[in-house]
Amino acid sequence: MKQALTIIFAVLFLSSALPAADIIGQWIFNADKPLEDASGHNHAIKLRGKAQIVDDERFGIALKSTGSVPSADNRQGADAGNHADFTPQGAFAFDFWLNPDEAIRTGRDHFFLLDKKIYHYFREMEKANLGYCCYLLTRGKDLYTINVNLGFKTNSVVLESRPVHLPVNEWHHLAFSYDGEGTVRIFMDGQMIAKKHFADYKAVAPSPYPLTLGDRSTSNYSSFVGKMAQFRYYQGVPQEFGPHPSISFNQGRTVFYHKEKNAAVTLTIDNDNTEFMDDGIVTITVNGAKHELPFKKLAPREIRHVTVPIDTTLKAASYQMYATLNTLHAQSTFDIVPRENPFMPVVMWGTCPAEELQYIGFTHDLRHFSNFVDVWKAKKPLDLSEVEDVTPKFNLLNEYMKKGLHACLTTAPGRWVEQTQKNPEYKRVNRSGKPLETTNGAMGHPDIQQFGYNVGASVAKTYLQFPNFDAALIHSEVRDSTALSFQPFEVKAAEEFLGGKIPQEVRAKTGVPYQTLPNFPPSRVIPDDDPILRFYTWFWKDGDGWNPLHSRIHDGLKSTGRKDFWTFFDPAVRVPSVWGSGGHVDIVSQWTYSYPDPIKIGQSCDELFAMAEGYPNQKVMKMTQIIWYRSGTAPIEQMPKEEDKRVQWERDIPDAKFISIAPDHLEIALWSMIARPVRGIMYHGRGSLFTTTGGSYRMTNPETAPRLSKLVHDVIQPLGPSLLEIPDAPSRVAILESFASQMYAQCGSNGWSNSWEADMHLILQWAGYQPRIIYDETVRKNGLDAYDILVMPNCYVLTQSVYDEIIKFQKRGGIVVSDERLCPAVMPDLIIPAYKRTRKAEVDKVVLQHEAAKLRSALDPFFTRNFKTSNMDIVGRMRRFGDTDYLFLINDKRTFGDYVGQYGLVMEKGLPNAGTAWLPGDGYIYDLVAHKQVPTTPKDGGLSFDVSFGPGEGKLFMRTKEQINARTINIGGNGTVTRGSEVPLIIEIHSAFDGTNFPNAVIPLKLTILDADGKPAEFSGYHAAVNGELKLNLSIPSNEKPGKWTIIAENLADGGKIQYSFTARISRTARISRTARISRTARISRTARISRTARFA
Amino acid sequence: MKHLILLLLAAPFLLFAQTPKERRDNLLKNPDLPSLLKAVADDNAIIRHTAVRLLAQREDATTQLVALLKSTDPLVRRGALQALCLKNAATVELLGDMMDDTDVNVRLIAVSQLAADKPAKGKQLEILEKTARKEKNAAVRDIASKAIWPFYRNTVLLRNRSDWDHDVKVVQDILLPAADWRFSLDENNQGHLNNWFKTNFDDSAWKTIPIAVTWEDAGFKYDGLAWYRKSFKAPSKPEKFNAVELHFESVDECAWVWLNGIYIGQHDLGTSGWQTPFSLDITKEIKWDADNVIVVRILDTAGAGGIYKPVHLQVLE
Repeated sequence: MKQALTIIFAVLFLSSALPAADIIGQWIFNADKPLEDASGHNHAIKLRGKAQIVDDERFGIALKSTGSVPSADNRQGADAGNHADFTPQGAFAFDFWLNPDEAIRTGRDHFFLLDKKIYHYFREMEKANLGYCCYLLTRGKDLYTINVNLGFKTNSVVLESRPVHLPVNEWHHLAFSYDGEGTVRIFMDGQMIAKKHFADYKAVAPSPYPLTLGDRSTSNYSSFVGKMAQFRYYQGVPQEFGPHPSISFNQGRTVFYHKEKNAAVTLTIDNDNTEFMDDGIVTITVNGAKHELPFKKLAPREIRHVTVPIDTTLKAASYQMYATLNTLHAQSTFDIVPRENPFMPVVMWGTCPAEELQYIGFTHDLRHFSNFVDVWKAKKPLDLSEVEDVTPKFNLLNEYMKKGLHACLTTAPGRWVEQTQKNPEYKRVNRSGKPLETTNGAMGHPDIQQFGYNVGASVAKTYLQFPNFDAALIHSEVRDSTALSFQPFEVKAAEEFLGGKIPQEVRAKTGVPYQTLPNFPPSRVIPDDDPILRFYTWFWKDGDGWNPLHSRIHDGLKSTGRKDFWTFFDPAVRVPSVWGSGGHVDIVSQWTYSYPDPIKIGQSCDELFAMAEGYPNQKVMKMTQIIWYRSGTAPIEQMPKEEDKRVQWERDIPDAKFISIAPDHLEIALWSMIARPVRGIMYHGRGSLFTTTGGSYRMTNPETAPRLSKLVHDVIQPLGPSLLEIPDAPSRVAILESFASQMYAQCGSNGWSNSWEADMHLILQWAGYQPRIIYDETVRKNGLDAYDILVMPNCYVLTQSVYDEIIKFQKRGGIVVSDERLCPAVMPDLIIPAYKRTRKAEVDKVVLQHEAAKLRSALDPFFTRNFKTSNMDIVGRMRRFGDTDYLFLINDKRTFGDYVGQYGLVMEKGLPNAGTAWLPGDGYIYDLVAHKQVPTTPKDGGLSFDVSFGPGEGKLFMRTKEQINARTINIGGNGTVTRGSEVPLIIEIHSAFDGTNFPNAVIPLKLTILDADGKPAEFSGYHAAVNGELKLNLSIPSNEKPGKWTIIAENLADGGKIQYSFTARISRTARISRTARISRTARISRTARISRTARFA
Repeated sequence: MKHLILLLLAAPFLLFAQTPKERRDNLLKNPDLPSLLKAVADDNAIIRHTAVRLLAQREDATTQLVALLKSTDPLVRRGALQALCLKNAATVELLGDMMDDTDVNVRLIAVSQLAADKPAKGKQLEILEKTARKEKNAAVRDIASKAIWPFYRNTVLLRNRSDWDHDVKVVQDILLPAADWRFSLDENNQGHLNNWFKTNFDDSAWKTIPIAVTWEDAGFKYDGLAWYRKSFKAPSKPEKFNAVELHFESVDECAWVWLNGIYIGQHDLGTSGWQTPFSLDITKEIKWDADNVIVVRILDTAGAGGIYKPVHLQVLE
């Protein structure tokens, strides 16, 4: 499109009749006399150095330069000499075409387009402030600002355009003009892209330097790299490059939610003229309706931004908007889209085309919207639209809003500082003050902390007007490479925290082996104020600077007050088990590879909940990696040499470094995530989900993407709104991840879910417990009163306070389960020997399940589980709302398949499974995926019910105290619904007890609201009836056509439906059609009630 | 009266019918010595272990705990020994005896207690040395080995010396040969006891392996201890230099290094050290213009292992 506009402009421009008398120099490189001046003023040019006149398809002939590098400082371009004609007495202008060559991408960071000034940088001397020049500054790949620098003898002024794209091998037209009165304008392809008035400036100062086209006049040469053509130099300013009063809609947000408040666009009125613009009326026309805005006169060159309100009572659609002011016109399009239903975020951790996002059902992908260079320079938050071309990003956000998609920022200002800033204070140093070899910077430095805030605040200022830009990933994987550092400001902070010196024993970030300390207590119980432990507590919480930096970025992003904007950090538990990871981010997240046992996803997820407990209201999301490392699943060196012995994907992509997760693993992992009260789920590894060309991530399993798409559409979307409302169920089983032990015995899962601690967690899951991971800090804060079983893997060392709590716990009858490594001061009730995996997936699973069986057998006489399943491969987990239980059951029965199973490292193929599940107590059970009530049998004081699963399948069962029965739809509005207004819509689900009680439950609902055209209207989709009730405000658009509306509410617990209809009338009222019926009857009786029966009877 | 008689007759039966949970709860409520001694013979393991734990809390149960060291339940023996250690009632001799216990968990308690008292000496040292050599269980052996590991050296490199206020320049950087290092696994942590670090040790029976690749990539699928040995010719002595170092671009994950039989230092940062380069000073140990023998003991606890990046001899000014 852009290229097409360029061509259209070229045709118009080249055919336009310019006043020939104004052209003083015209170098169009005619084939017969390529160096002659076609203006007739005899300003022939001379080629310089390696510059050439070359053939060109577009212009016939062009001037080509190949660039200058510092090591070969060769001049290029063309020399037009130093003639008095080139010293304008007042207004002047240049225009020309240019076409960058591929080599420009590896060239300098600035390129002269023409020069008669030499000094494009500031110098306080006369010779640096004479004449004019024009040059490009590189701002990114194919991205440049166009700069015009004018000398006025004592100083110079520079106008820098916003960054513009100049792709290689593409012609674009550039021009600039100076009116001799202080106003500079820059044009690209006929559009003015920069204008500035410098008060009190007249003609530029005469320059003694030659006019050079395509390069700097003298060394250091900086020629443009590519072709240039059709140079024209004007005395005076042609109309095309002069002042134009204009009106234009800004390029900001153009998509709005139905009924959104304060929706508006900006109309810019630019009186780019030497005369006043009189009072008038701006007429805005939308959908045939006119709206007038009074307009007060504008002074010459004044610009005014007028806020144009958008009528968001309109129906969801695209609308043309016209603005007229006297003879000036502007046109734009805006869109109204339906308000969003509540949803569970499904984030593509990476960038992905919209159609792929929609196919899977991803709600977000990641986007780089930060600007580090300008914000670092400015040392303060910036409106980025003033320093860079944000139009493509605005366009993307508008398009995403239309498609119901969201964008999530990914930003890493700390990483940027590490990689670009040389200040030695930003480097980590050893105790002697010498820089470490790590690139991980000293993030605690105040400059970096402030920069973090500024980066966040700049993004907020610029982009948070877009409601679908609602999330941010703040750094990622930055703490793996962190290191102890001893910059003076770091030492001071540590000493302030410690109240003394940093212990000499501190040498590595992973702690100090207790065996190396001569006076370490044999009991391995250390005081809480142990200086070494306190140092590491400080280091991992605040001392390495990352967590405070995350907080500062978070604060910046929140600086505009957007409450729905959420920030997250990952991998947040790839650190020792101490609170604070991620700083004050709203969400902590973690990615996990599903092999060898996919329910391990739940282990790191539970670690996240332990971490989140350390900061008020912090929540959890969880990511499953789409990619699988080859080494852990199908080692490339073990691949058969003979091609016929390989499986299909190995034949197709034998060198794939990362392959696709197996579909059954994907499904088990998904259920493992949502069985916990996560606020969203994430996936990374687009290249292993979709076929792409090259890269290390490869799509090796074509069933993975369809399975994920099906799961998102069939499970996450229908149940997501409800899952967000259902808290976790309390657990009486805790597993302690001991920070003290990690620092003194170098153990811990560090979020990798492959340590002994993680395997102990697997044992507990398979045994049918619902372990809650706790940290030392959790024990100190809450004690252990909430638990009956405390599991202590790798708990070599304890602090006194934790030890005291454990003794108290044991005294009241709590059972300690540990391994043989337990701190000797604690005597366990049961020992499970630490297990080292064999890399034989089946062997390991058998051993761990055997331990699970032994554990269950030992504990069953003392402890009643929340639920039971008839075989260990049916893994359960429970959440609870009020007195309603939500039991997730996951089929973990697997074997070796023919995808990677042949290597024996992963049992990737799910198998069907069947059995029974049991819940204590009574009630009614519903399958929330199949949407039906489940038959039960009373057994052992509880309910037993049959369950069966496909490979990798998960299920969610809801157990309510009362049977769900009646349901109603109520509509407010006294029978009259005025178009453009809202009326309450209430969906009620009752229990069968007396038909009026609300169940103390969250019940998933599907709403279908069909408008007069029979199309789904706003709020159609999935909802949650919390405590049996869903309340919405139904809006009839102001431009809705008359006709019948239909509302169908489906209860996703038992599948029951109810339907209502009403008519929207021309008289701008809508009446309920007095019909209420249940779509089907079943053995579970249902009734439908209309709340205002009398009124509508 | 008739009912009372019936109740009394049924009481032992009712007691017998108590669930394990009820029995344990009763024990926790009334942890008197007779009940505890009875409970250590309960058929439920958790009750037995609870009883041992409660015995450990009593001041008057040391004799009973010593007697329980002969229990047939290994976890009762373990608990009893642990309790005696907590009471400081486990002598070196007793711990030495328990090192002969058939149950590894008992031996772990014993060896941990022996290792905790530093430095090891006398009978304690003797038991630990024997354990380090002969114990079959790796975890037990490892604790003993660490307790008596004799090598540690901390030298400050020239560039890290706070009193050295000059730029440090590498004036010669010589890559040690990557091929044909002698290599041996040390699954039982016996290498240092068998003098594998000595210059004149005969390594001719060892396998050869290259460095600058992981040992997995060289065909050894292994996690644990292993040793590398290599003889290399040092250059002639420079006229001017301030220090000489061996620079390891990285090893996975811990290293202990000898040059010409002399221990020159370690890189022991735990699991996080696998990608951290390090240098060791050899200014005094290097033999100029002669053959030198470098010996490196590597510990890899997970994943790839070995000297997987090059090693340099660096002359510094």
